[in-house]
Amino acid sequence: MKSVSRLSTGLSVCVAAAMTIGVLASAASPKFYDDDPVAVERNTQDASGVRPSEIDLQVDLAYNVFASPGDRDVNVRAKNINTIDQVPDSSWYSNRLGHVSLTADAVARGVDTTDGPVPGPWTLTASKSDGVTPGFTITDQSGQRWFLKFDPPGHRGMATGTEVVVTKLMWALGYNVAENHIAFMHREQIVVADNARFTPVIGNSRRMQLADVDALLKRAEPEPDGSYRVIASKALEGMPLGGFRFYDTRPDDPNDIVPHEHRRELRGYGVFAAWLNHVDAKAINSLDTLVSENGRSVVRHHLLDFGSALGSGGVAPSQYWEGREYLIETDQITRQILGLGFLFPSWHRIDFYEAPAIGRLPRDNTRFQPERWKPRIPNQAFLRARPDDQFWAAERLAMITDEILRAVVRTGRFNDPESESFLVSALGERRDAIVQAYLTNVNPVVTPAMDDSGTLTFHNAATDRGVAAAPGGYRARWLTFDNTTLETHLIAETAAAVSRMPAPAGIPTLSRSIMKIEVSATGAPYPSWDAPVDLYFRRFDREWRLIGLERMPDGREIQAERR
Amino acid sequence: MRISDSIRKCRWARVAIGVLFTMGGVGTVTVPALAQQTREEELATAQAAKATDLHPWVPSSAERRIEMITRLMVPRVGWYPFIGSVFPGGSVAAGPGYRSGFGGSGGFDVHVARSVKSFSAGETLVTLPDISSGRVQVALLANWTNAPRVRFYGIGPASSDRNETLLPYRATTVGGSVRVNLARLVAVGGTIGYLDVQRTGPAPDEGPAPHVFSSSNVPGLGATPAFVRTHAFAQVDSRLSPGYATSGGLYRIDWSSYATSGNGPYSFARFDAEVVQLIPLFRENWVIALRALQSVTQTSAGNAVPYFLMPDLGGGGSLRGYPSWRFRDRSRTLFGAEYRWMANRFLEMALFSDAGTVTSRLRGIRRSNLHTSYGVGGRLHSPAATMLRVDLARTSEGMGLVVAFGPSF
Repeated sequence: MKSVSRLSTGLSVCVAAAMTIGVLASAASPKFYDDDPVAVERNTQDASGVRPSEIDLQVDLAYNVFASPGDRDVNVRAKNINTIDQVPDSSWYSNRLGHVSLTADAVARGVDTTDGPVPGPWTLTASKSDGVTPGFTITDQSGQRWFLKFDPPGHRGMATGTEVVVTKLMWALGYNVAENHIAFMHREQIVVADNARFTPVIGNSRRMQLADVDALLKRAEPEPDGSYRVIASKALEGMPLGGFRFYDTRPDDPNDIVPHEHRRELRGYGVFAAWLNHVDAKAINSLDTLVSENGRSVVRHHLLDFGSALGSGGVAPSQYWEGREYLIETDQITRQILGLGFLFPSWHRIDFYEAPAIGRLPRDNTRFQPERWKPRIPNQAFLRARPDDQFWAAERLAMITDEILRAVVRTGRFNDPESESFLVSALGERRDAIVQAYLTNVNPVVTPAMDDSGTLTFHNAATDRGVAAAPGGYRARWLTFDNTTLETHLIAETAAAVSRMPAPAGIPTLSRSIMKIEVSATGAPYPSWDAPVDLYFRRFDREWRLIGLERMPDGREIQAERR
Repeated sequence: MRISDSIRKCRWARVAIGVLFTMGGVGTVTVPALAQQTREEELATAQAAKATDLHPWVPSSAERRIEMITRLMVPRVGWYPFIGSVFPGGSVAAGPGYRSGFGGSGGFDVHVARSVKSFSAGETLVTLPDISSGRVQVALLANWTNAPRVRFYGIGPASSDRNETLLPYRATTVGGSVRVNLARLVAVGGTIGYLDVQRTGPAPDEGPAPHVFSSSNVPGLGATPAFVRTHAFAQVDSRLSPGYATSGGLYRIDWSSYATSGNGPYSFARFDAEVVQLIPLFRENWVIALRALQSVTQTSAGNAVPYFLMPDLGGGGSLRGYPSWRFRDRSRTLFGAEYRWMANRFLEMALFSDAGTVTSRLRGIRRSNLHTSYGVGGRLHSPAATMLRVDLARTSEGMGLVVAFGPSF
């Protein structure tokens, strides 16, 4: 394993080196450029040379469980954020909540551009014969390709409804996802394509026949009218390239320069996965595609397959332990072996809501502890999430209203009003628990501004959201900042009982001057608020403009931030 | 990790620095004069630097090893390594195998293997394509087994381990079987085949057999009969999978007829009944597994059950801790109980106890005849199959270790 860690460490930090070349070369490199903060992370290189590369499930599982790939340093500030601690739009992520007006109806519509597969004959071009439930690839009358998956028998709506609901929420949160619809397939509308191939579990690939379709459909449960409820997933635009790993970069993509474990949206994905109990957040449930963008081939990164989320385990209800343990935990195994089965894991004490339509979820989510949530397989990006990454995710999650939840859960068409109501309630409770945990775990100063006179105002995200009491006051250290030498010079320290502070005498007035203000809380309900947020403002003619915000600068100990 | 170290290890980061310095018109670290005026330029420069050193994903040596292991473990069409047992008491065997499919759901599997105790076997199994959408399954089997040193202790519950001797057994089997799935849990079926026994004991230089055992007190010793075997079964199986389950039960009866074709008085019938019940407790953290098995044989006048086809006890599947074939007689009774607990999704532990005996007559079963064993075991399993079972058991004759590739029951 030594070579493994060497490889991963080397790969991950070399990108950091490239990104921070200015700092390495000399303090003469500016901390801020004129275009900071950037709103878009652009792909400037043509990626047409990228080739499909599949990730092996077993290798990915074993490697993440036993090898811990990626940067060994778990306290590294996210590397794809801009200077104000935000994630720019990119081929990975689009800022939606809070940036564009997203009504409940808009979220419920999500990424959808169609109503699903066009009714009529569906030409079956491929099938999935392994696993518990079948899967088909079809082309509808419009020529659009769709992937169809079924609910496990006895759980109508569980996997398909969950997939639709989670897809829409992940889209709202900013990720690239596929267009998923609930549709109904009639056996009579299936036409097997001449070139459709079928590969039995043991056997050679051969031409597919209708009898194969019938055999596969025996694993699915028909509706009373004989049709089959399916999730129809629209084929993504572009050439499929396989999934992306949650560590290192894709070595054949010139634009992929930030190790994936250091991408904030992938770290934050762990918070959203915890919220949605998306335990299957692993590499093979992602997909890169090669698309054309501004006349250039670039790689777009998507998240897929949300069938193992909420109360669904995909092919059965979610297991009791899921979300609380990894598939393999050696210390837990040792404890259980020695304990002769009498050391019951904590999930034995949880009361679960269970229903065929939605599967199994804890009945009471008000005491949900997101920091203890685990996917089935260790995810290297999740493992490197710091409090500032979790804060970023929690801020986004706080924008998901109950109204949005109700609208989105309705799109799952679970046909079980009580379970739908429970889901809305559970998602709301889990959201609130996450917001409570992560908005308070680091200094929550947000939306800072300086007016012409230099008066600083800001908000406290935790108190605004009502998840923490207001601190006794705030303290600010006002410094001048030299953007070339990175040197600072203290002007004064001020304090205020509220989140508004007049500037002290002596702040610079020259255009392009930069002020650094370190804002911390006093008498705060959380010790983590004692650590300052570093704010940087640049003077432009008659205004101060925010150009930098560092909630947890590199080098600051994580432990100091934790409750 | 210092940044300079990381750059040394990363070719395209080195290239990036080179590009930057070149663009600045200088060549030393101390005079950077970077060309970028914007953040976008900085990102573009890093992307341009990476574009000079693109390559496909290169798996690490650890990834390659994991991939190789998983390829060996996952059933695939083509050549594969067979690892398992070729005959009870033969220990672990290995050899090459080949699998293929035909006609949709049909399959062909052939393997040859040799065990660490020099037992060898070759087997061909042809599974015909499903009939009636899988309701009817037909298979054809041909097997050749050579077990040169099979343990033998005598007949009856009181056989002594001091009389252990090693007897050869070599046989060829050909036949066909049919299974009809009447309902989701209910199946019936049968087999018809030909069993040609080519060699049985004694082995003159192996143990006291010539002095203690003879054809007069051991039916079939030294005989090489051939049989037409007819077999039928009926079962109700509510377990998720016969390979691994945590709930459900198996209720099964088997009837077999062995008819010699004029080369010995060894025709007999055999009846087996088995009940297995799995009781999950506390969200399957515990499973109480219970088993009862009864086997009886019947002969017509002048016939005897040959020792190598008698019901037996011992080995990994019954009365664990005792060696394979430890007890043989015309009837057997076996009870098993296990307390299983989940150590992990893929590892199950068990405390177990077996009790059983063999007798010449069903009415000969006495509590005083029962042999017992108890022990602890661990089982690596997938959701539907037991891949490796290791049981350590204690008996009145000492400790025994079982290494098997299937469930205990």
